[in-house]
Amino acid sequence: MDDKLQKPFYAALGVITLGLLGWGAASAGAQGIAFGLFTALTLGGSLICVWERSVVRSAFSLMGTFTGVAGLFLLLGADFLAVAQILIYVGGILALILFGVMLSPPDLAERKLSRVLGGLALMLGAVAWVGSKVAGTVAWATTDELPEPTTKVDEIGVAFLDPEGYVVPFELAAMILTVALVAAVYIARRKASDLTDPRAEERA
Amino acid sequence: MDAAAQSYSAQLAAIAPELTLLGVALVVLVADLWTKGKDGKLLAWLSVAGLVLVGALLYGQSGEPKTVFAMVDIDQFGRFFKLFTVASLVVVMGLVVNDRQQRLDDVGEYFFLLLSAGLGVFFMVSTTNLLLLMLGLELLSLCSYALAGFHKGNMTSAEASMKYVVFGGLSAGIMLYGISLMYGLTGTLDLVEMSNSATLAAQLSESPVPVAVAIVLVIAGFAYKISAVPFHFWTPDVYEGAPTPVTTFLAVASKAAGFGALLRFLGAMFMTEGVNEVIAEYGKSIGALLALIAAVTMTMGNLSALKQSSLKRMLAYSSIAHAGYVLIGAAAMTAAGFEAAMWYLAAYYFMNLGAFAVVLYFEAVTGSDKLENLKGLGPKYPMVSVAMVALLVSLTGLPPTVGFYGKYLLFVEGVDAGLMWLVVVAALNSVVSLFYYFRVAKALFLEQGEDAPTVLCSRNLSTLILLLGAGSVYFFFAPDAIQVWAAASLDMLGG
Repeated sequence: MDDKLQKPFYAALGVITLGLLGWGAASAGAQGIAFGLFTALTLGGSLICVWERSVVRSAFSLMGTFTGVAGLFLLLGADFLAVAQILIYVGGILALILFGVMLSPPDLAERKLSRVLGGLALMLGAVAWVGSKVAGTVAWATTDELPEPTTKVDEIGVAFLDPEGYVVPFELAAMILTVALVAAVYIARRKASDLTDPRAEERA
Repeated sequence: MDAAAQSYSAQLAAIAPELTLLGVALVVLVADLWTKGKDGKLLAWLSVAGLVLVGALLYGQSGEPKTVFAMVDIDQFGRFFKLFTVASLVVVMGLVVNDRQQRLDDVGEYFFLLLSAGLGVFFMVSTTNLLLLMLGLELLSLCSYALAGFHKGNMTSAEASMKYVVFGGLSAGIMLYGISLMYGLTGTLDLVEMSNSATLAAQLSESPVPVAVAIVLVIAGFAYKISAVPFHFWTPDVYEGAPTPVTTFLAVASKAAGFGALLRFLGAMFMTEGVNEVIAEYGKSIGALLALIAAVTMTMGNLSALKQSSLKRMLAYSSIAHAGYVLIGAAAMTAAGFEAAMWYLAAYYFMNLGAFAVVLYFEAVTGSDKLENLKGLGPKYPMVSVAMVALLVSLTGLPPTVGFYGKYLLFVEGVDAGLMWLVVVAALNSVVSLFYYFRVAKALFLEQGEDAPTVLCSRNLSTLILLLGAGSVYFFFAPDAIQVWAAASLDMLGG
């Protein structure tokens, strides 16, 4: 976005981070600090992602978001989800995005702030209205203490293969992966007859 | 219903059609490798034989509705849509074999993807569990994306696939977000459990906004699959760019599957036995929303179809309009309304499969799907053209065709449910649709075209077209055959 706004934007992010950390520390001690840190990582990462003009910077800031979400999973005692989040999103998808960015031509089209402001304001208004209704009226399950971390991997494994559990969705997911693989190979593959041999021209 | 009492093998036997379809898909994939991709005819025959077997298994399946593997509902409702899918897939396979733009070598993936898409439909119409529903939907979508771009060298085909992927990804995300909200509000993924959830009812009395957001987001996912406004933007481009047999699959099987899942969603959430009264009452607001979507969808589809010059694009907008008509039955939120919607889908099967088969036929004759190329072809290809006129009459909704009877049922149920205004809109829309459907008939029979030599076309294809045309007339005189079946299929509502 605008170079002039670069400094105020990052200053505001810093203030929000400090505020979240302070609020966490004041309300729940060490756990609160951790929660504030991961929330700041998640929110900050996604804000930088849509703010930055360089796609590479946007992609790297996504790492913050993914790591922050993994941290939130950890705080909730879902260690398997946290590890899967890091492995799949940070290790796999982010690396893929970066490869995609590096292999595609740079696009430095200017985004004008004034053009998006109207839509942004409308969207923020709608989100704020719905958000206030959702946050204000839903009786979300709350607890004073975070749950004890437990190892959930074996339970997940059993549930996947239990006929009374999730065996059908599990196997269907396997089928989805098979189809994805076959479709990807079909789209990407070139037949030998389609390929031209560069040496053939030289010989001719 | 007692899952604990069922043995593992009994549960497996209950999903025998699904397992068989899976097996057929994998056999076709391996057979393609075995023959090194050179024997498309063999694969087509294998697929059709497998589908017939699956159909026979489904046909023999009856009796009490039951739930196996904790979330797969085996009942008549699912059976209706599964048989529908199998029957459409058989016709689509027939179109693939007769598609002149498709060489019949190297098409193993074509059949594999079509069969896998069918498997996705099987699961998405037979569950009230949102997780399994989403997985079935994704399997169907994934196959459809690849199929839309199956003509790799063709730019429009690639564009169609790309647009489909982007729109599909977006709408899947929207739907998943809605599902996560519903899970957060009720603590369960099962629709029947949601329908008598006390916390959800309490939430509705407190403030319905969060529930509305969640349900509207989920319905948006269905609206994309049935291409209802405002989630229809992909439809014309994808229908035009995709290979014609794939377009047929998307217009008929995929759309019916979307309706199957939508009706199951509405039925389980708002209309099952033992649904919480507050939630059932809220269902009426959702019905009003669907009525609004129906009105906009049919008007938008018909008005846009008026000025199309490509036959496939015109039929794409026409299929958007038809989604609007079927939505009348869903918006009625009554068992009879659902029944009418299912009857109309059965009618839709004949008219749209037939119309797209005719498009394929004339594509082979003239090399494109432009409307102007059809001029004067009627007398040269009399059988196909007469069948096309019957199909067009049916699409317009005039007697003596299934299109008329289906619309009649929908209108009656619409009026019964107090949606008089919607029925008036739909009737006016049918008049508008007359203009563009009869432009095709006029081009075929009343206009003079250039003198081109008659091209001999596959007799199998014209037989198929004749059968579908005859079906669209026959069931006008024998509506009970479908009606009994549709009525029996509502056992998912219980009682």
